[in-house]
Amino acid sequence: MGVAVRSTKTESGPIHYRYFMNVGPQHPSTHGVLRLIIGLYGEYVLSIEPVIGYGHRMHEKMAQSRPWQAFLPNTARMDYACCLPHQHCYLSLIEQHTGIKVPPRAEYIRVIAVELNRIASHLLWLGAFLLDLGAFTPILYCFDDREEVLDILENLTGARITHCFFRIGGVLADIDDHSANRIREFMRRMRGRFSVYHKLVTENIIFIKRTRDIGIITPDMARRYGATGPVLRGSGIAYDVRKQQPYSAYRDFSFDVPTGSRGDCYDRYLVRVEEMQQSLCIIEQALERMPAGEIRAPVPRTIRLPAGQRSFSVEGARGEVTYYLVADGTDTPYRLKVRSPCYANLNLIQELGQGMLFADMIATLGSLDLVIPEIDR
Amino acid sequence: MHHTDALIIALRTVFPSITVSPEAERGWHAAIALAAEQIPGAASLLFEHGLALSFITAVHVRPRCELVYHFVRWEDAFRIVLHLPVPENNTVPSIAEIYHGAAWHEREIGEFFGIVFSNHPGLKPLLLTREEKGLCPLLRSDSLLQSRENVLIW
Repeated sequence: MGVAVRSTKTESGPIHYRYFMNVGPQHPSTHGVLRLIIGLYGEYVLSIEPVIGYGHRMHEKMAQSRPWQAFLPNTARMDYACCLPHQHCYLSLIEQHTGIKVPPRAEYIRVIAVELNRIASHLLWLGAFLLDLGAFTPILYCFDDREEVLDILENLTGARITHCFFRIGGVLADIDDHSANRIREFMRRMRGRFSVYHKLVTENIIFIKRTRDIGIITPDMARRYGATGPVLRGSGIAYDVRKQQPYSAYRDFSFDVPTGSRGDCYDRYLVRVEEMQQSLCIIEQALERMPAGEIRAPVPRTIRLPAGQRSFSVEGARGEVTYYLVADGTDTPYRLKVRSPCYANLNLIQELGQGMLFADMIATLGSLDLVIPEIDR
Repeated sequence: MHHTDALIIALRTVFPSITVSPEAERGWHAAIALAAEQIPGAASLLFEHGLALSFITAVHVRPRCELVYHFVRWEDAFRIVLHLPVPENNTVPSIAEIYHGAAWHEREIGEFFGIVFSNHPGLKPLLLTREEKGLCPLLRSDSLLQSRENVLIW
């Protein structure tokens, strides 16, 4: 961190001192390579300017320079903490565009994998968020639980993170009895852990003081910036793509969309914790009713993308993920745009952070659950 | 679709060219082609009707780039797409005054495609460095360029 001092004379007479503090690009509270230029008056934040692009790899250029299959691993390298929704979105888009039907069993396996990934992502967030607030203990519990999910996903997909598990028309591997039992075992364990989290965090007076009524996002602000996911649902808007525009097999499951009432950091915390329980609920139903059959549809060896445009949206752990494709009839996309939820969720900190205490700004930034490589793409 | 009617009617009076597809076959329920000067008015109308900005992007086609705006309504995930061919002077009015989140999307399009947004609060590079000014990595070479009607099919 570096500090520069500048003085400005205001019209009303007295001289106000405005400090510029640079946070990042490498700082534990920025959760990635994010730089914030913060204008301060004492401990109060006057302005925040996020500087992004340190991890920019131009995925969209890569997408239009190679056959569409070769882009599949890229989809796991944007939101590394919850990559399966990205892959789900990309493949569903291609499948819809080329008219490939996915067997029901494959869609159920996709849903189970995505929801496990969502739980792992929320656990990572929970630990890191509380670490930002100065609580060191919870991250140990969170990583203990997350490790279980990662073991299951590793067994299933072959990778601990950056999973490349879905294939055109289906998935790479089936969930056999062994895997199903491991998932059931994890669900039993995880359901018993929420009471631990509630005692450790939800009812913790220091945590409440640090997050209650801090960083209130109004629905109007969320709309002007295009916020989605738990950031939006914390403000009381029940927008979840899985519910409003059911894709894959989500129509088959009953689950709630938790929302907050005040839109503060505490509400966003409650929403994510409740979402983990809802994900367990979805996984349970999917395991219970898993249809028999193929896990991959027979697809031709070469698949060309018919000329035209199309978009597809899914609910990632951080909000709405949209892929927009323009194709020209070859096997290489003419243009592929990736809409990442964190891009909009970070954008609103510029307005939200004004007037806050510096420490509250860090709490608010943590509550947005940012994955910077997803913003930089 | 009955609850979306008020929006469709309001849009149809201003943009008679609107196409509506209730099943959202391509991922959106309505699409409108409009001219550059119409975009602030269209954005205001959508804002008044409670839509949120999903994203803005551009596609490089012949004769000139085309901007694509995606909006969504939270209540029912009603999606609307605006298509806007960039005029010859390569300048399009910004909608960052209406949808504040548009500022970053417009900066990104500015550096990737070289399109200028008038009335923008600060059109500096977002993801690329200052040294890469004018690089416009998503512009295609002439041999790889398709004309608009071949790829942007509704």
